[in-house]
Amino acid sequence: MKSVRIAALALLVLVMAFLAACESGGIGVGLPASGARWGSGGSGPDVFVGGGPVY
Amino acid sequence: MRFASTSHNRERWELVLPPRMWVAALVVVILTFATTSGAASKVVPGTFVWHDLVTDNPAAAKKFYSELFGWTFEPGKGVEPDYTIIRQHGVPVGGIVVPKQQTSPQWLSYVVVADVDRAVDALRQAGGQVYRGPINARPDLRVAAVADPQGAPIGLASRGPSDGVSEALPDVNRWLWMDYVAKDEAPALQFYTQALGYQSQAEARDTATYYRLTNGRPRAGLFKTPWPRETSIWLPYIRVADPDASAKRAQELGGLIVQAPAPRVRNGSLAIVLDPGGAPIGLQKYPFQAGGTP
Repeated sequence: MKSVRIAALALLVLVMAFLAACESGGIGVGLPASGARWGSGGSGPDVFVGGGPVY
Repeated sequence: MRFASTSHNRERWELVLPPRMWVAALVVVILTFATTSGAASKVVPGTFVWHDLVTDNPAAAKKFYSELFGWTFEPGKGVEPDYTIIRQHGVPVGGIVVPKQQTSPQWLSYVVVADVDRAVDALRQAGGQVYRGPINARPDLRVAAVADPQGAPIGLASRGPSDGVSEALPDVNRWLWMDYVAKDEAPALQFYTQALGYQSQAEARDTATYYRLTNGRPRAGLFKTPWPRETSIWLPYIRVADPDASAKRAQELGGLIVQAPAPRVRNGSLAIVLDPGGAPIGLQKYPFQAGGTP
C-alpha cells in the first residue's frame, strides 16, 4: 500500500515538473538572411497614418 | 477511504486511500492540468500570441532590452538551440533565437491560425514563401515561419501560450499592438482578411487610410508605408509611458530613432526605433488622444 502511494506521488511530481518545464518553452524558429527587414536608417518623413491600438 | 489513527502519545490522522483510488486521483489531477492548459491556450485565430527576436548578437539584444524595458532572460526551450525566454516581471513575453545562418535581426511575431498546415498551403498558392515548417515546436504546438506574398515575415502557430492570452490592456513594457506596414496595401488587405479571417474597418484621412483588422475585437492595423524604400513588414509595438523618453533612451543604448514622436504622428504618442541589430519596434503610449495626419 505504502509503495503504491509513493509511486503515485512520484509520478504526480514528475507530471507537474514536466508541465512546469513546458511553461518555460517558447517557439524559437530562425529566419534566413533573405528575410525582409525594415529600417534603412535615417529619419522618417514625419508622416504617419492615424489609427493605432484599441483596447 | 478511511481515516487511520495511531495510538501513540498524540493522535495522528492520515488519509488512507486504496491503490485504485490513488490511481483515480492521479488521473483526475492530470486531466485537470491538461484541460486547464488546453482551454487557456485556445485563442481566436488572428490573435498575435508570441514574439521571437531573431538575432545573431543575443548579448547586445539582452543589454538593450533589459535597460530599455526591464526585461529579464533565462534559457528556454525552442526549436533552435540556445533559445532564450524573455520575461517582464516574471511573465514570459517572448524569446531570442540565434539563427543557424546569418540573418537580418528582426522580431518574428506569431499569429494563431486554425490550421497551420492549411494556412501554409494557402500561403504558397498566394505566392508566399515558407522559411521553416510546418513543424511541431512541441507535441501540441505546430508552427511555421513564412513570408507573405509581399515578403513580410510572420510566424503561424496552432495555439497560444499554455497560460493563455489576455485580452486586457497590457502593462507598460509589454507587447501592445501589431501594424502591417504595406508596400501595397490593397493586396495585403485582401490576403490577410482571407488568410486570418479578419474584417477590416477603414479610417480614412486626407489621402491615406488606416485599416483596423478585427476578429471579435481589434487585433492589428494595416497601412501603406510612408517610407517608399522600405519593404512590407509586420511592426510590433511595445506599450511605453513616454515615447519620447523611451526613444531617446533607445538611442543612448545603441538603437536608432527612425520616427521621433511628433504632433502629426498620432499626437506625439508614437516613436519607432531600431534596436542595435536593426530590428524595428514601435514605442506607443496608450491610451492616447487620436489625431495626427496621414
